[in-house]
Amino acid sequence: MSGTENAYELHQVSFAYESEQSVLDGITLSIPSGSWVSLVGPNGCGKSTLAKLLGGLLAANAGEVVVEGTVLNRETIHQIRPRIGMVFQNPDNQFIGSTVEEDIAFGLEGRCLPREEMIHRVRKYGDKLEIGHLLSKHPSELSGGQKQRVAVAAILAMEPGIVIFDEASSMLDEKARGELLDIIKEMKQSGEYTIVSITHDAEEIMYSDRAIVLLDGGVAADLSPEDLFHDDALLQSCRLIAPYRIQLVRELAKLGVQVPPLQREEEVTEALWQLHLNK
Amino acid sequence: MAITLEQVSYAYDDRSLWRNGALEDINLKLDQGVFAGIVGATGSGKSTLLQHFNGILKPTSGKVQVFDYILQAGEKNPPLRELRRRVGLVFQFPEHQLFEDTVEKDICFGPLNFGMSKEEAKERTSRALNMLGLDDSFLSRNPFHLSGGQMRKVAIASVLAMDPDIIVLDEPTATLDPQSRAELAELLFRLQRDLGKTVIVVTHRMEEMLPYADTWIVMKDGRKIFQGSKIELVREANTLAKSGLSLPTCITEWNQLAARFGLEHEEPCLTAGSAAVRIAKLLTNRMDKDTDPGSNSTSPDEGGEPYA
Amino acid sequence: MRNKLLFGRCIDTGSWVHAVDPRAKLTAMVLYLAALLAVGSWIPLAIAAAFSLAYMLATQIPLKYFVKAAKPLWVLMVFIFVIQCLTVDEGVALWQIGSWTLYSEGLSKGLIAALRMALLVSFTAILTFTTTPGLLNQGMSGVLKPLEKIGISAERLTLMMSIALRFIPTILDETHKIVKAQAARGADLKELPWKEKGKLLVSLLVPVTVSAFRRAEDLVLSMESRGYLIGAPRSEYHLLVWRSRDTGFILSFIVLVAVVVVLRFI
Repeated sequence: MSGTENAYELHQVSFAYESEQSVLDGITLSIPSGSWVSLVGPNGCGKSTLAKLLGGLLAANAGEVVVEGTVLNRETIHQIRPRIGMVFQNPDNQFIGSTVEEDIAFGLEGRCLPREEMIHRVRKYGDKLEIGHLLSKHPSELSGGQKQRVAVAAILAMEPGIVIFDEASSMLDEKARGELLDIIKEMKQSGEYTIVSITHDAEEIMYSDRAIVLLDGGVAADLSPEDLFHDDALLQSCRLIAPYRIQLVRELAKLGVQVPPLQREEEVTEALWQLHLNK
Repeated sequence: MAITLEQVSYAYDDRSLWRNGALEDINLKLDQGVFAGIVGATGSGKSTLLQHFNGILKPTSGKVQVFDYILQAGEKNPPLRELRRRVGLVFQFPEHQLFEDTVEKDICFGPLNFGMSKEEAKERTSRALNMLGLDDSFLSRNPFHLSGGQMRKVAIASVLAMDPDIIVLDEPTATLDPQSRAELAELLFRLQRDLGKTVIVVTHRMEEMLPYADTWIVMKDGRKIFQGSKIELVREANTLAKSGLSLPTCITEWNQLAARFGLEHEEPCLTAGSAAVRIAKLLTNRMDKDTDPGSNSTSPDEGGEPYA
Repeated sequence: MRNKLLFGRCIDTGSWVHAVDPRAKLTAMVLYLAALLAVGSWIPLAIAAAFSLAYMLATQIPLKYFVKAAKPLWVLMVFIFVIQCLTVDEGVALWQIGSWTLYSEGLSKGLIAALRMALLVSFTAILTFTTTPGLLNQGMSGVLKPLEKIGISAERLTLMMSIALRFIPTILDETHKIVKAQAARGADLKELPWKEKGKLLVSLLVPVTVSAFRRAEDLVLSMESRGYLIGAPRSEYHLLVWRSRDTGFILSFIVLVAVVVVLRFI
């Protein structure tokens, strides 16, 4: 860590592709180091563009993006980029190497790391992501979920402080999606990473610290996941649906059954059973 | 019976190296007019199974019968054109198959291939588009300039315009946002309810199709491990979960409630609204009827028989 | 799914051929090509065939894979054979249909040409079967290094090759899927009248091209976000060490070329 409080500070950031209407307009926000933020909004609201700006793949037309205390620009990008890793949506299209180990090593070669260090990191992060037994496999032999683990391993092996997930779970099946969520939870717990995730997934949003809602290129709300899932108008405009447990608790409340506020993992059933016993 | 599979197996050419997506000894019957959901992990053979329904793939052993068409291993196929028209197959990410410069031309592609006249094709195109909630202003637009969700709908319309009796979709909601997913599921339901189409959907998010699908099939490693009604699915859920099926919260939540409150023999309430009503009733009823929740008082004939 | 197997795929049996330096293998393949071009009669062909067979066996990969690798090109082989039969009019006349006569030389030259082709394809499969694409790239960039002196970027060339090797199977798969999707919309290659087949081609080419571009865009983003910069210095994950065995490997091919060339001129 470079000792700054915020991984990101954005001041009045705007962006337009060519001379078209601006995609992002006057975005101001900050993301503290070590936090996990969900970026949500309907398609076309500019969240993928924002992710690219945060990842240094696009440069803002106006305003400034400050990454860990350093203003992002042409001169600083090469010093900042190693701090940021990005995991994208399509598991196939971000698999650069022709084997798992080559893919993990790809970014490390660009860092000119000595060979011993590369081998060490390929092993370490391969084991961490539980793909250590697949190192010599070709991508065609892997499932989508396994490929996405490889992508995460390749990013973490570069030891970034910030990891951006750009709809990384949307092409995975339910099991792989759950596993990726577990990986992100672990990353959060380790305290080593600032996590920015662009997602529609209610469960994933629930586990994050905070949700930033983008609408029409601007920040429409910046709130806790709980508050987001209790705001019907906001959910409607983001095209999201609340997690089932929250829906259930809200429906019960409408019928006059008050369930005490639940922690994320706690079961509604148990709370109801207690109510039942206490009646 | 719309679709019957008898001991169907399918193996890809290179047996030794690539076993993913193969099928083994599938027996299956689907009635006309059902809404069927197919679930299973990646590589369990769901997509391979779908491609047998319109003769894109032919079984390596066993027999597939769709309407009067019989596809049998080792025998020559009957002409498949009419079968392909009557069973519309929508592949995963169908928007990737668009190629024309207007929506109308792209949707007309299928109907024209099947020998419809230009007028008829155009009329069907407009109707199919409207069924998917897009108006005629889309006809002249370039499909490549539409949003992802709209492209998906256009691609589904392109199959619908062939006027199939059965419409088969491989993960039609993948990568859409949650509300678009729900809307699409409802559109498919309307095709079944209002137009009498047989709808078969592969999904990895069961909860989307749960309100609509009346028949469920669970696949694992190329085999069918379950077929039954929604109620049977919910009752078997724990066993299926043990063999690797990811269950949606609405089912796990209901089964926990059912176990706690002794509701195992009731029809499951799988939407937040219906479950809330049921729970509220339970909690108020306790005042009037102080029974032990362990022994429930539902009539025995409601009890489900174990699915064989 | 069916196409992905043999193209750009390494079959690891751990034989000594697998361990030969990729630069040596690439050089050897060029020499082998030269030897085959010099083959003009049955004896050198037999020598080249025996030589190939010995190396194929040494890889410990079942021979049927090499046969499989040559299979897609059988049309071309038949074509080469037929052309020779049709055009050569030396030797003894064997068979006559109308105004055309099959001569013994034509038959023999046609067979040699077709077999040469089969040998070339199946033998070069040794390269891809025994070398991971990553190593192949590194070997390629090593072999192409001298080109930098005349201003051609070896890095660009190898990058292009590696991306092609990596994505060709994916794109073949995608094509396969789109063929099936259009067949489901009534555009089946087998059942469509000839004049409609042109339209079918468009219905395949457009989606496949669009998808290839989409993949390319994604790949560029992914490479860029992992800090890739063309021309920037990189370290290498695979270590290439030239051993005396590698020199020996190349020498055996030089001997082959020499034998074939000598046989041609005596």
